Amino acid sequence: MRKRLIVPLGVAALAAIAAALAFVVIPGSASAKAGSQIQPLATASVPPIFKSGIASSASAAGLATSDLIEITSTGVQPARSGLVLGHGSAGELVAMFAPKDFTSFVSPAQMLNGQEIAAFASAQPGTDGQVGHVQLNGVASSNVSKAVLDLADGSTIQVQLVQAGHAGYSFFTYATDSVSTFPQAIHAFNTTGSEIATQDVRKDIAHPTG
Amino acid sequence: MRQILVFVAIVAGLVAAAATYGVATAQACDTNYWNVGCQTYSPGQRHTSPIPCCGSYNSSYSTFNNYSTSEQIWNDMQGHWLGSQVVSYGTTVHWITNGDGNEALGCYNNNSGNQFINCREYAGWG
Repeated sequence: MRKRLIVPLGVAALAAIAAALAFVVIPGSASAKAGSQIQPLATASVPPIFKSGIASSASAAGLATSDLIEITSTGVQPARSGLVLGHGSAGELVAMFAPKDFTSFVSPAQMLNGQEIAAFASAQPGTDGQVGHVQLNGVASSNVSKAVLDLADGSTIQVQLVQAGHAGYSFFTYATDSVSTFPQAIHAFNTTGSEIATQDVRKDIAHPTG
Repeated sequence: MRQILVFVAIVAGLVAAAATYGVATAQACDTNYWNVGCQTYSPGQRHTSPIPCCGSYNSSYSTFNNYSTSEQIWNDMQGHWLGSQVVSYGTTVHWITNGDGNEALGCYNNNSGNQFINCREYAGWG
């Protein structure tokens, strides 16, 4: 049984808004350090140029722009990365955004490609030219009840799984500007606590020098 | 004997065709479209456009084989890395670039084995 987050009043109001927009958004079990916040894209603090670009991309994909929901990481504030979920005739589609880019909308199934969980990394250099900022945005199948990140300092952190839409997928975000907490791998667990998938993300966040 | 040789040649051709079918999508290459190229990337290898760009809004796009993800990257023309985004097959990345005309977009193999990647960059977010 997935734990339900005790939702503060403000977030509950946002969840009510999200539900009214035809998406069911249910925060899963939460970690104070790897949580996600949810709000309509229209009221999100995403830079305006991104907001209009994402909305245009959504429209081109046949999505109703008024239904777009943003899920962002609480790890780095102000939030500079996350996912945008939309719904249209093509079903439910997802785009990702990071500090310097956003992606086209694709289906969660395409993102998973038959896997139980898929994390997509974005990265940018610090002032020394090495990797200084890392973000993970991802999707998990309905079989996943819990997801845990291995971090560079040897610790682990549970990422909040946010159910959204009607297809049973959940979504997660993570962001950090600290090398010691760069993600190394993500582990997915089912409701019985069995690990059902692992993804090593070290190559995904590496400085592409080759 | 001749019939046997013809048969063997036909079978060999069919086997060769079957071996390449799975990567046909990634190998088809019109370099006018795939302007960063179509080629095999070894693990950790990158290619960016040899022609500098960009205005402030540019996009990159890739298709690829062998793995479920690949990576699109943003560099300057001196090869300094400015940003990267891992994507699933057929995903476009829309970048906010510096607009200084000294940048290039491209692709990178973030996997542990070789990957054939069709890669392109273009102006705008269309």
